[in-house]
Amino acid sequence: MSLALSSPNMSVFSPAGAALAVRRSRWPVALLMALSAVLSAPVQAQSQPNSGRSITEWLTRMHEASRQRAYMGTLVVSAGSAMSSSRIWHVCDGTQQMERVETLTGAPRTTVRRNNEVITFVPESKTAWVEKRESLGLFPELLRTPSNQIPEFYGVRESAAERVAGHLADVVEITPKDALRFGYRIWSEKKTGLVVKMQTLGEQGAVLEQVAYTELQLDAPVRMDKLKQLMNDTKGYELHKPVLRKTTADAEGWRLKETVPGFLPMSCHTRDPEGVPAGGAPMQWVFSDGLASVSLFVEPFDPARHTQEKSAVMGATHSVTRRVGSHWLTAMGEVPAATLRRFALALERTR
Amino acid sequence: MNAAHDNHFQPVAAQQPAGLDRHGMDELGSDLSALVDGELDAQALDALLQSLAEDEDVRATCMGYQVIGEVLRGGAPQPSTLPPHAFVAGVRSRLQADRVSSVSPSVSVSIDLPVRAPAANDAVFRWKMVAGVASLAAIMAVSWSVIGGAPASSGGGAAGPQMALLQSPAGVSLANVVQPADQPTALVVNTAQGPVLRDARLEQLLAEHRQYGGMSALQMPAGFLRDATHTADPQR
Repeated sequence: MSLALSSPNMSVFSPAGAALAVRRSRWPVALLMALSAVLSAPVQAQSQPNSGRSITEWLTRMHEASRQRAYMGTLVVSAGSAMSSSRIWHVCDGTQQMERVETLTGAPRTTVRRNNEVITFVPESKTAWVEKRESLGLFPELLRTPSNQIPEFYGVRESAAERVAGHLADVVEITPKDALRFGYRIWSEKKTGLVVKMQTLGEQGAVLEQVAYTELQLDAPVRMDKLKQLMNDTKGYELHKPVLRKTTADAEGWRLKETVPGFLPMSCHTRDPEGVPAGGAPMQWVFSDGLASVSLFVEPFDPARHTQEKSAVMGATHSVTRRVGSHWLTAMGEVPAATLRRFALALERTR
Repeated sequence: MNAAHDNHFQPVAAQQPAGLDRHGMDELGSDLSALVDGELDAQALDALLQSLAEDEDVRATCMGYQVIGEVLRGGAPQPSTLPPHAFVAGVRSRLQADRVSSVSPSVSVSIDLPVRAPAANDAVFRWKMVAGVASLAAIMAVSWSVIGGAPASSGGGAAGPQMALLQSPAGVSLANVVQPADQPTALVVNTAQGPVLRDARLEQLLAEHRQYGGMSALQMPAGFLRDATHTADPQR
């Protein structure tokens, strides 16, 4: 800052500069320059950490960081009063991305991901769950399409860099423009853009949930072949492959009589969990505004289980239940309970 | 409770002849019958109690009705062991006590009863009837509050505790909360974070929301790792 200010100050207030200005009758220009230098000084000081990136550019940068890096670290998740941690390995060879998550708290569990294929090993029960996570392949392509509504509903603000897990990180605050969604504060590693810490912020900036690396080694020697080997080594494990049946809300006889601003329908499916008779599985209708997502679970009303309409909360995830005719709705998402109630009141049967 | 009594009795009392000041045996019989059926208005009841207190024959007739009533209901006749006048005195005292307490409910009124009316009259039908009406009124009162409370819990009612929780800086842990402990699906379990209230179904849906609903631009950089670290799935 001192360097930026020194040049105009010298030219204006040095005796030679002043004499020149008077001699050439340019004093109004000189005065303007001096004034603008004085006025712009505090502005420059405030906006110095601002990279000028838009919210879409920030989110894209965070994506690209995890796509192009190999790293390992220890991650801590704090949701409400609960806290969990895990050991993370991440590697990418340009085309495919692999990740290994080994829990350090609760039951031992290993999750290995290759792009959107995920397998979770539970050594205690010798079971393994094989799934495809559609949500992992969706972004950031969506950020580049016109259906990216994020800038319409969220603003972005940067503040001074902070250190997380030994790395200097840009602090990016994503602020909601209405009360229907939460805000986020993200620490993005300065050189790479990697997300090293993230908080979900409720009303008045209260931290509802946070995820952070307590230790992180960038460009770590993580070997993809080892992770592949681990992913394929299911010997001795009982494999479960949950079956998702794609459908549409319309085909299932449901619609929203009123949309909730910013939230677009993303997918709809029924899942047939083992032991549940066909048709008894709930429909899951997923909405997203680009950052927050909401699931509407609709299942047949069961008077024995669905005794009371209620709300619950876990960290940033809220849930609201409501009876809709002969069905039972559970609306759930990382949004305020009021948003879920809007969904619950808007859902109606079309047949 | 008084209102419930009023509601219960007033429509029927309108059918009764008011202002009976003299009871022939026929009138007495119908009044006693109305009393047992709970259809006697307050004025007629006063007159009847007066005659029960003064007239031995009336008391005998009353006892006769009680025995007939017991036999008709299929039970063995269990005439009261109390002398009829003692019973009547008890009823009058209780009625007086009820009147006093209905005028100023906040004042505790203690009246020395000559007899232990409620317990000793267990076999007397009218008291069962009164108790029955009282119980019914109590049940209705509770039902109304339950019925009235249920829709509220889905709306503003539930918002209260939840907002309180949100405002708490400590936050809340899983399944932690807004639901009462006696929910059929809720279960208290000991976890690494201490005992928490768990609703297995809600946790299952939470896990499914995380696995298949995490449609967010933050899913790849942070959401997936967060969910794999902090899973809510009760099966895994």
